Amino acid sequence: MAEFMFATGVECSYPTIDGGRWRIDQLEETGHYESWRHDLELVKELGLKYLRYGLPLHLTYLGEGRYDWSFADKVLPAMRELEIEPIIDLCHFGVPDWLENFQNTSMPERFAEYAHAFAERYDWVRFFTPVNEMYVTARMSALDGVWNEQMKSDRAYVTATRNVAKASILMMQALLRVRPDAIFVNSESSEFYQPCCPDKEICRIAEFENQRRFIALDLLYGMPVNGEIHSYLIDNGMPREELEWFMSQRIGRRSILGLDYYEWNEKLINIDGRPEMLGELFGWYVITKQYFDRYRKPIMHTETNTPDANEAPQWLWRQWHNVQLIRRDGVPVVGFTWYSLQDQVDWNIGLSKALGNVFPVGLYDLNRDPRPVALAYKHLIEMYGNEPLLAGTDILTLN
Amino acid sequence: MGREISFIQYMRAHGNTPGPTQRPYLNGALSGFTAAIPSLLVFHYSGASDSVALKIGMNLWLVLLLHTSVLIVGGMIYAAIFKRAANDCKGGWLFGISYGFLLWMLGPVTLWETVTSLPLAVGTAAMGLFAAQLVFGLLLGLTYPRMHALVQKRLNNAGGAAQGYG
Repeated sequence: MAEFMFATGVECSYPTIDGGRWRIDQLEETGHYESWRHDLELVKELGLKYLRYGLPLHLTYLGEGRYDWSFADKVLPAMRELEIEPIIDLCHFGVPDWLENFQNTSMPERFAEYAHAFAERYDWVRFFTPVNEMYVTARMSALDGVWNEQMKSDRAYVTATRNVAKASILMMQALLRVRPDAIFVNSESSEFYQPCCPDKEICRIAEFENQRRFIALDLLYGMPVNGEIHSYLIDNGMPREELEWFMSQRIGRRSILGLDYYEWNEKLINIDGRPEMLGELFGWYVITKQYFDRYRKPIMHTETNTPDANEAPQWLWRQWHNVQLIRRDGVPVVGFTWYSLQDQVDWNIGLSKALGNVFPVGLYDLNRDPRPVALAYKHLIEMYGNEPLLAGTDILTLN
Repeated sequence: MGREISFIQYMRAHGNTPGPTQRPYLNGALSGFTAAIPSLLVFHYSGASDSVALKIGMNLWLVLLLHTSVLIVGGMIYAAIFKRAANDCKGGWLFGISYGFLLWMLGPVTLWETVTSLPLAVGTAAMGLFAAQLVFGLLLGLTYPRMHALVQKRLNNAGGAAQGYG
C-alpha cells in the first residue's frame, strides 16, 4: 500500500573548491562517518520511513569499474534492517577527482556505469535521485564560479547542464535495466526571479533567468525549449543532434519531480541587473505550481529548512500548509522533507569556503541533540501520517 | 544554497536554547555534584580548606559542605550559561576549564579580596584553591554531556511547546 512520504535527508554534499585543491565533505564535517548508526536510529525515533541519502561518491567510485563499497556495505544493510527506505542520491554537487569536474564529457557514461554497479549491488533499493539539483550544480560550478570547475561563462554553464542532464538520463536508463520498478525523485531547486522595476532590460534578465531555471529539467524530460533558450543552448556549444537526442528520450515516466525550497530561492533582479535574495515572496505553492504546470509530474517537497533554529518549527508548518493547500487544489504531492537530519557546516556561505561554521538547520544539532523543529516534525508526522495519496500518484504503486 | 546572516542572528539562530529533551538544571546539579567530589579532595588535601575555614571562622566540615553546595549551584549556573553548547562532548572540557577559571577569578580572588582586602589563602593553599576550581571546571565540562545522555527525556515524552502554529 503506497503512502505519503515523510522524509528527511543526511546532508552529503562533496564539491571541490579552491581550484580543486580542497574537497568539501559534509558527511565528514557533520560527523556522520562516526555516528551513522545513531543517525539512522534518530530517523526511526522521528517516525520517518524515507531518507534522502547520498554515499561519498569521491570515496566510493575510484575509477572505471573500480569501487570501494566498504562504507555503503555498513550503512545500507543497517538501513534495510531498520526498515528505512532510502532515496539514494547518486551525485550531490561533486564528482570524484579522477573525473575532474562537470565539464568532462565522459562524465555521463561513467555515472551510468556507477549507477548500474550500485543497483546490482543493492538491488533492494528502489528510489533514486540521479543528480541532485542539476540547476544549482551547473550554476554554482560553471556560472557563479564557486565549486568544482569554478568557471564563469555561459558556455561552461551550458556544457555542465548538458552533462548533468545526460548523466541523469543515462543513469535512469541503467537503473531501469537492473530495477525496472525503480522510482526517480528528480530533486531540483525551485527558483523564481522577480524584476525590481519595469525597466525593459531588468525585465528581460528576470524573464531569461526564469527560463534558464528550467533548462536542465527540460532536457531531462524532453520538454521542447523555447526560441530564446534554443538559441542560447546552440550558441553556447550544444550540437543540434544532441538537443534532438534529449527530446527523444522520454525517460520521465517513472519520475517524481522533487522541488526544494528555501527562503533564498526567490530572487530580485536589482537595478544593476544582479540577483539579490528576496526572502519568501510568493512561497512554495506558487513556484511549485509553475513547475507542475510545465512538467505535469507528481511532486515531492524534497528540501526545506531555515537558518534560525528558533523559528524553524513555524517555517516547517508554513511549508506543510503550502503542501496541504496545493494538494487541495489537485496537485499530486507525494512527499515532504525537512532537510537535513543534522546541522550542516558552511552552508551559510554556500560551501564557498571551508570555515567550519555550523549552520543550525538540522532536526538535530551536531551533538545529535534534537532541536525544537525535531519535536514539531514528529508531531506533524503523527498527525498527518495517514495522509492519502491523490489521483495521479499511482507511480508509487507501479511495478 | 545558503545566505549571509548577521552575527547576532547567527548566535540567536544557533538555538542556544536547550533542546526539547534537555533538562539543563537537573543535569547541571548532578554534573556539578559529580565534579565537586574530586575538587573537594584537592581542596582539602592541599590545605586550602583549612586556610579557608580559618579565614572565615567556620568549622572545617561546614566549609567542605559549603564548598560542595557552591559547586552544585555552579553546575546549574554553567547549564544556564552554556545551555545547548554544554552538551558538546568535544568542546566540553574547554568550556568547563574556562568556567572553573572564571569561578576562581570571580570568587576567591575578586569578590573575597574586594570585601575583606585580604587573600583567602596563600602559598600551597592558594595553589590548591586554584587547582580545585580548575579540576571542578574540567570535570564539569567533561561530565555534563555524558550526564545529559543519561537524564535527557526521550523525544516521545518531550513537551508540545514546539508545535509552532500547526
